[in-house]
Amino acid sequence: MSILRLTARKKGDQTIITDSYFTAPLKIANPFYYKDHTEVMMMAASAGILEGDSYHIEINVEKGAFLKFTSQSYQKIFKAENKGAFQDIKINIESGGSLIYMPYPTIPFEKSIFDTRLEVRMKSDSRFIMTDIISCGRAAMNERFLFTSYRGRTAVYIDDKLCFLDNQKLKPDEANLSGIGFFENHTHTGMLYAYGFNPEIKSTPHVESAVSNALKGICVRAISDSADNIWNCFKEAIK
Amino acid sequence: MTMIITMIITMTMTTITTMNEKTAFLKVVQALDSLFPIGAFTLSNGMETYVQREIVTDRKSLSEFLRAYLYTLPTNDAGFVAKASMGESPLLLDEIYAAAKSPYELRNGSRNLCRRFIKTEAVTGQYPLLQSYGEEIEKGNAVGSHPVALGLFIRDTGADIEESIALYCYSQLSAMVNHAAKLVPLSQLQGQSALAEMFSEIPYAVNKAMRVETDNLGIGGAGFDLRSMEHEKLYSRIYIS
Repeated sequence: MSILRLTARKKGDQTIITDSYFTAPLKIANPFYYKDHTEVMMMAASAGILEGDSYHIEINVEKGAFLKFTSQSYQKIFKAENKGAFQDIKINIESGGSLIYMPYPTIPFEKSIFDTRLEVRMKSDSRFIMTDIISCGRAAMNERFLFTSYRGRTAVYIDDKLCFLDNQKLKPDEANLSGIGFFENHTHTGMLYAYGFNPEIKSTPHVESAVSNALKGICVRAISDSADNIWNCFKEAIK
Repeated sequence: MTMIITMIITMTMTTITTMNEKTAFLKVVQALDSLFPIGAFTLSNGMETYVQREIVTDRKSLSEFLRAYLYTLPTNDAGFVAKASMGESPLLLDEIYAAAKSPYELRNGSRNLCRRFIKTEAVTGQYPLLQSYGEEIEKGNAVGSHPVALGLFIRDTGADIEESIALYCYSQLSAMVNHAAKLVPLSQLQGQSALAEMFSEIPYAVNKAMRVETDNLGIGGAGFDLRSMEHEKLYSRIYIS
């Protein structure tokens, strides 16, 4: 089991990182301090997520702090025999706190099994924006939907009330995931959720995207044949 | 003597139960009739975008749509019907439903159907669970979800849950077929044969809906959500979702 825990605290005009704690292979790089926010990059001293790996990540953004949390590289999920890998991310944003959570896209390799849970708890005056991009496999090698299963659940609670839920289960042996209703002949899907921020989605070449008002906040869905295209579309929107 | 009386009572009770169950099922049939005046015909639930984007263009692509749609029903709308009809907390289900339906038109469409459904059923009989759900919506404690309302209605009537969910799946697919037939357009014969082709898969969907875990409610398809969101910006629209 690998743990990564950190707290972003407002100190004067800046956001500092306190209580950071991590166990191998997870670690965080030295934070970048910007004028209005601080960026922390998560790194993993391994090629990817292996069977039996279990990541537990806790991010706490205190009152008035503004954190941007990113990752160093694509999250590769390796082949598994039976139970696969698990990831549990818990985010807490206190009143007036802001978080941009933008990890790199996930690539589920052939025969991989992955279960990832993200739970966000915040207040009505907190701000949060996140992206989640998933590929059909190693698309560049023409590997399409050869993973065993991908399960992802993102739940956002505002003042303890569930306000946004993105629930995904991708099982290539059960449904034609490249077809209608799912990836629709594309290799990547992306989701952006924002509350308190106002991202502006611009039309991007080779990306089909649409935005809608979720119960609270907004949700963007995108499909494309390239993770970079969706990534750039989302990055532009967040700027 | 006692034995005979017991037998008569048992027989009478069985007859009454069967009668009640049949009447109850007819209530569900009425509730899911496309002519039931709650406005379901105004919602295409994304089909209009699929046709305008030329993804659903013929009998074959309609079948592909129906198969994918039915695959998502047990963790989606049919799952909510099942959970509500089996006694899961309507407020919890309502909360999950509203949070999971991120495309505004899907959420709002279901909310409108739900409110009109409760209002219409109020003139057909006494349904305490449905009524109290209506009160929670009025008080602002719930958003309003048509599948949750329908599940509570099934519970109120005492209709057979599995048969009711099978009928629900049928009614959802039938509505999609009719929208596609009008929009593409397709011949009614092609539409009906595509619909009939799905029947063998409905029992499997019912079985999955009956066993869906709360944690899995809301699992759908990224494409379905995207097309529903795109509908908000379509240049010409006949349907409101």
